[in-house]
Amino acid sequence: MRGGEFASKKILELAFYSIVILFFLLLIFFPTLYIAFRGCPGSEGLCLPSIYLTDEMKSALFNSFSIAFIVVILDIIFGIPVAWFIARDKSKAKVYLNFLVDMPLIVPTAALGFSTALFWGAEGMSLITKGFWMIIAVHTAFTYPYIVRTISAAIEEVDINYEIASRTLGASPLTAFRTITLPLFKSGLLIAGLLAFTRSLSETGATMMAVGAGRFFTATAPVQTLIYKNNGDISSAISLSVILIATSTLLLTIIRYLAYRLKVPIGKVYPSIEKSTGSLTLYKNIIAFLFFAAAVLIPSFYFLKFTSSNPSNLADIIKSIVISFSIALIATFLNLIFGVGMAILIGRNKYGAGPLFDFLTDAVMVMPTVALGLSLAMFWKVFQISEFIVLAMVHIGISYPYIVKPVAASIKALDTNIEDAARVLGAKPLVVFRTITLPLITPSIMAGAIMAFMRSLSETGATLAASKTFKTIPVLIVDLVNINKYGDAAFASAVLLVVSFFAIFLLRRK
Amino acid sequence: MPNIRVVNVSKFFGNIKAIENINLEIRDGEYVVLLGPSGCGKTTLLKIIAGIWEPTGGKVYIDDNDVTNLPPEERNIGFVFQNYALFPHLNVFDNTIYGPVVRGKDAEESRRNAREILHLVRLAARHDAYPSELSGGMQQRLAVARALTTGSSLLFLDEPLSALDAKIGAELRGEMRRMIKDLKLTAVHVTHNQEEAMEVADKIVVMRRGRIEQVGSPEEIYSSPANLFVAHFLGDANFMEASISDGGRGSKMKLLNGEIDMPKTEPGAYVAVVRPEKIEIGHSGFEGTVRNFRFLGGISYTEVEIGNEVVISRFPSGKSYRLGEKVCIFFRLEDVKLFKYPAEGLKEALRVD
Repeated sequence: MRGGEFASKKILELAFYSIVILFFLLLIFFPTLYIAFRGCPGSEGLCLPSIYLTDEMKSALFNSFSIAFIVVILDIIFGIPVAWFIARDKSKAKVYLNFLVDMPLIVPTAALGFSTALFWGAEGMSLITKGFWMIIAVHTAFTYPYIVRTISAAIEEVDINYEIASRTLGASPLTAFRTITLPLFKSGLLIAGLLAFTRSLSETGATMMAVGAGRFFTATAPVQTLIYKNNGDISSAISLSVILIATSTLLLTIIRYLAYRLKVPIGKVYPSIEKSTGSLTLYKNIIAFLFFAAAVLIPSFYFLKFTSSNPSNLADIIKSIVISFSIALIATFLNLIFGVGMAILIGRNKYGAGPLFDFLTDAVMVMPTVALGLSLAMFWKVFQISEFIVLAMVHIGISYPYIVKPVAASIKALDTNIEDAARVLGAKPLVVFRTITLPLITPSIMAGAIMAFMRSLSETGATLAASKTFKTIPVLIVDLVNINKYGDAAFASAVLLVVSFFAIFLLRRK
Repeated sequence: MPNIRVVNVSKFFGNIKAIENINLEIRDGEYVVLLGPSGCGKTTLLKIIAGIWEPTGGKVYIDDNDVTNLPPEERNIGFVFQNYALFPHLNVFDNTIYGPVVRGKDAEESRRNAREILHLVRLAARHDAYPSELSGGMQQRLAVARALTTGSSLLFLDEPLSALDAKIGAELRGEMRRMIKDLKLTAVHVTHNQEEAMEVADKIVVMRRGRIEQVGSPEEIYSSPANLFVAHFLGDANFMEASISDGGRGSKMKLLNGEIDMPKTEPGAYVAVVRPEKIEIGHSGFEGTVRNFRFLGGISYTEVEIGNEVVISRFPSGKSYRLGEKVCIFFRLEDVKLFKYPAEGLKEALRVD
């Protein structure tokens, strides 16, 4: 009898995870790869595309990769001191700084790009003209919070006693950092770098704000892809997308491999030199905090200065906000149901499939969203469904990893003894999940939901790649800026900012 | 020659006073144990001496130099952490040689030195293993080895044995003391385990609630505790309420269900402290009933109920007693330590938290 019950529970469990896996594979993963099999623009049949690389594509790819590289280096140099402070400081200042670092995250990237471009450009400081360096300034502003978040979490995981032990053995603070802390959180650092790199590589909305009108046609790879698509050159758009998907997956594979194998050389130590840098600590911190304030925080909110009090496109703005929020809510809601299931599967390594799906989720996350949006849109349009649903499916695809990743991590960190204790006290598995596991992972589910919601809300590239008729709010902002209606664009950005602030506030409170 | 002086040291965490006005002197070559219940401030004091924490007030001197504001890397010390803090990404040998490397010492000489120390702690064969591959006892020995490579003659140990199984811990503490004495080091060791303290220390510093209660050799502290708390925390003791009154040429002490004549003492309420091994069971003395008897191997243990108090006797095994058996207990007056009955009550005076 008992054996029979066990068996039927196993079947139920298997059925549940099968649905979770099918949801991911059929509705998210395979559609993202669909583009690689849509080689024949004329027909809807499957065939491998001919991949080619024109000079124009090469220069777009070169721009994208060099921008992403410089941005990551800037982020890491100026991000580590701030991340360090957040992770190790014990005072109240930490709470405020934490909040300030999170602030730019609630500004949708298109608005943030618009704002940063205004700040550095002719309307503000007049220090940077639109183009290559403006794109770097814009990308730095929106990737910096991601880097600081991830690095400070990684530093916090390193037991502070290792540093103290190193100090008692005679290491100066810098030596202790270089030989002990850095090797212990290097995988966190690499992952943070990868995240920022791929976010920079894939960002479209913010980039469009920073490329000058004249240089629009040799912009970054995602922008170039959109140009091809808008000009009807579908085979070039597919070519560039496939290259972007392939390189981002390759990059992910390399970084994941290096994260656990790369050794930080510590053989050589220069005690007197490293000790003498102790006096520089203060300057280093001041410079990092100034960078954060001047290059990230202030530019992010500079647009508020331009907000028009009497926008001429009010009806369009309201319509776009309704579209944006409906789609973000649908995507977040569906992902909560199926994404948390996937997170449990990864976190608990069910059927030994954890690492595989972890990697596949990462692969979706690092894919440039324009390529992803193009692929998903092509896939769903085959079924002749309404464009609104196509757009929703695209947003489910891009925001899915942002729920799975944090929830899986917190499930992995959960002590399984707690669940066993509940079982021994007489709770059935579902009751254990409802009364023990779920309450413990709720904070990470909330965090994941906020991230997914914000990603959907601020996505420009994938939206442009998927739909022409439905203008989400970031798309509208891009349009308004292109016709030089800065006041209206600032107004739309401000409305989006206020509404997302309240949405997050409500989510956090629960 | 290291000689540590702690002068008026205090440490506050917000409103909480972890330690207050501590004065302590540690001589060259001494093995000193800071002993006390958890939260008494012993680890705080150790970390302040080592330079890991800065005191809120007061001064720390090593070799008569004021080191109060010196960071730990400039104090030239060895420190063994409670959970060892072995660097997980370095193997046994690289952990051991870390100190000399970051101090820029001569590579060949420090390698030789590290190998010698690993021999000393019986880890030479495991030089390429990672900390996670070692047993608890090996990890502990590696932590000591790593602390020794600094070449310092000052070694600080923060609960170095608390993470080990009782049996292994008991074995290692003898070994550790021998090694520290052989190397002529000055050691400051923190523990809450009084047996461990008795076994390793030349000098014990008993702490409670951020203050020092008594400093002395294990024998001194055991045989003449400064107060009720020290008597209670170090070894077992019977605490009996007593009252002393004038009685002609001497004094009379009411105790349990009897009265004893004693030399002239100030009258009043007292607590009489007698160690269990000083209480004998026989045919004369205070009459009582056996409430519990346990055979513990080499020694046996009997609880005798007298009125509403219970007296514990411990003696070399041999005799046994039945529950409910009527017996008499007695002890010599010179084995009784008298303390004024505490104003805060006996329970409060003995509380360990």
